[in-house]
Amino acid sequence: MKREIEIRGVGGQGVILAAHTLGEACLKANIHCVIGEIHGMSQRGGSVLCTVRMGDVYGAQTRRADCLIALEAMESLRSYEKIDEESFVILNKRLIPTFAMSQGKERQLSFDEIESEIRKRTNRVITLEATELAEQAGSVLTENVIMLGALSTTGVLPFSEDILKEAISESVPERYVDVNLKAFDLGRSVK
Amino acid sequence: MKLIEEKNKGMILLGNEAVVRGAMEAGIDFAAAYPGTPSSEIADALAMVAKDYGMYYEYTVNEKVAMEMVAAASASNLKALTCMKHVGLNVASDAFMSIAYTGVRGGLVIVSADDPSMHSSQNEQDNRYYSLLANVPMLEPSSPQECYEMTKKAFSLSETLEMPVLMRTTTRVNHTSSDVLVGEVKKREEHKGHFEKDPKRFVIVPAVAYREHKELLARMERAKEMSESSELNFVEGSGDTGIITSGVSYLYVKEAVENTGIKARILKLGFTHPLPEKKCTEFLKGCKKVLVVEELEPFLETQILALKAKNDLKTEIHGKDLLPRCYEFDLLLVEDAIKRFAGLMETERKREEGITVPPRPPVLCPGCPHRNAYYVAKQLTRGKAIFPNDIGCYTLGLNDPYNAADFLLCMGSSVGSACGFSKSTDQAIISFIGDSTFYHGGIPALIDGIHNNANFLLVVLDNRTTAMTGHQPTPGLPYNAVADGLPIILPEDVAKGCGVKNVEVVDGNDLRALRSRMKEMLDKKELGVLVVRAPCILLENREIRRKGAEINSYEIDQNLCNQCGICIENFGCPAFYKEEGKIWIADDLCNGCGVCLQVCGRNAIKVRE
Repeated sequence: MKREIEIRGVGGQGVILAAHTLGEACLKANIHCVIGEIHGMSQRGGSVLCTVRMGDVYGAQTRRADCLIALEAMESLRSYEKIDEESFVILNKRLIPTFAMSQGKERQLSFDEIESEIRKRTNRVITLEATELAEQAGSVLTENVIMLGALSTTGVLPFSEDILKEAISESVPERYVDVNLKAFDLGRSVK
Repeated sequence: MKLIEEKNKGMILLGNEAVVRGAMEAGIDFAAAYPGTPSSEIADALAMVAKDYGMYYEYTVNEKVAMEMVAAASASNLKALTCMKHVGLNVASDAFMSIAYTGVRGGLVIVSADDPSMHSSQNEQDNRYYSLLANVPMLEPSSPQECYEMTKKAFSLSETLEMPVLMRTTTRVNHTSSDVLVGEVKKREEHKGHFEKDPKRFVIVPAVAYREHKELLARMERAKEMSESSELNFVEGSGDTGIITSGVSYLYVKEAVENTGIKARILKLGFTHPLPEKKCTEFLKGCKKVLVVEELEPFLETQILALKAKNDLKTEIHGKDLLPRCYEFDLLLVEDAIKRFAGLMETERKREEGITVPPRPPVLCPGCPHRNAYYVAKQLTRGKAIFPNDIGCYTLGLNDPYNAADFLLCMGSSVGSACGFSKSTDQAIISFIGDSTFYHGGIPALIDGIHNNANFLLVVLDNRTTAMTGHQPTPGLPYNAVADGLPIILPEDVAKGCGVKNVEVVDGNDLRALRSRMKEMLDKKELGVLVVRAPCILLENREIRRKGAEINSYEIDQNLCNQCGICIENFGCPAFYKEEGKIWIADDLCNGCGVCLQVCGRNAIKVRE
């Protein structure tokens, strides 16, 4: 058994926490897990990538992605070559312009453009308004957990949603557990 | 604390955390380090556990000081560790070379975190050569589990051999997390060692070094025997097609061999210096051909080729003919190299070109005070001065719209190169250096400059922290990792103490004051030090939130704004954006510094209702 997941976003969106939550769930399910992080100076607004590999794997680098999660839609395109017709892609409809775009020096891509690029590779695309759903759950900081909820419906994960919920409960401060579990369920309800 | 308390079970640990866990299980007493990516989490984890576990730890002013401190601790019979990024070992190398001669008493482990692909470094030098250069035994872990195990092993090797041990990691090892099966940490009271004098060993004058070099070579012979019998060097698989590998490349090889179904015998080296020559020679004898899979330089390959020649073997050796000598590897690249090596593939696969994605380079944060100094310096000089710059978040001043970096070599080079430009040109010079980098490597060059009548303006961007590596403390603050109530050393006092007369301090968020101070100092045409003080906005806001106070957010009064664009094009704050011909401030990005109010000529920016 081998599962490969890529999670992408921009510094501050909780990409690393989402990856580590999947890692803790693997630990509970007794499944070997390797997580890679590429963030460089991401605290300064750069791209963040986490790879999560489960099962019969060695290194952290993915060969392909069973699922790509993009907390910021444009970032999904950086994993373009890792997705194929078997891959699931979960896209947050949020766009954070690059500095050059804010300055008006580069054209802003639209979400539709991004989605249609992704659909050239796979039809297994889930799009959602994770930012709004997170606000509904009670905190915009739960965007990452919304995405994990959506991930849990794809059948990619080699453990049950209950194990993942347990891992989420243990990964966040106690007073935020309810908000996060609500976020997880909202993520799961997305079709 | 989980990193200390959990025992005899699996834990998800970052490679860097696994090093600290292994060190605690080995009974570490003392550590000192200067942060540097990708090693910083080792330093931070040490800072976090030090008090609870019971050891001494401090963030030092630079890597050389850290190396000298752990050498003294080891000579006092304490188990000690330091960690640094690969280029940090350049800074510490003077001390490192001598420690190889004197040897150690308490176990001494030196972690070098190399950065293939230069994710956050000025080069991708291969520090395995330091083990050859200094004659120091070296271990190379592949995974977090091995980081944990090899750190323990490194301490025991160091004590058995009475030599320092270099543990060489790479970004992919440092920044990979995985389930690590741990043992048990024994907490203790922090305790002191005792230094027994032995000047004929620890005072490295020529007569002592003359004898010790010979002893060092004898110790390396013992190390070689240990490498030959070490379980860290092992063979897997069978057949006459061989692969020799170490570090993270081993993981790619394992998976590539499984994916391709090629029958191969793998020699995995974890104890890579001294090379287990007998084991390698036996391996070569059993193989028709061998591929050496290693990132960066042909460190192993060169030695394997020498063994082939020495033993007159017919084995075909491949390595850098099939694999690149720069940048980190990945699974696909190693898979292809192995296929070509096995004759299953003719030419290199063309990587599929993905669509072009707009790059998202890091930028100075909204509200970052460094922006203010760059904005003013560019205005005043119209960009005509030479801007030597230095290493930290502020290196981002390189980019548009500031273009405030013209020359950079290494930590502290903004000051030494300014001395050089001052003597070799008649151009105006404004150097930029951060507070942490000033303490690290800026001070000796400042003394040189003032003593030799150099003429430049050194701007110390004092944001009261080592921001880029994760907000570690500096000597400008009253605390360190564990200790509090410490003496504060301010850059302006250092400058005055070094003999600089032209010293000023200015509030980094006051553009008018910044402009007039900078202009006055430049007009004096002598060496000046301008300390621009304003805390890192991320720390400042964290503090405001902790107190439960509100952070302001700003917006643009569209009735007053005439879209002149100074806020976007000159000031360059990333919270501003253009949409439908108008300029806006993104509420979720604005950090509330309010400096843009001083930039806008139309008073169009106001606190958001």
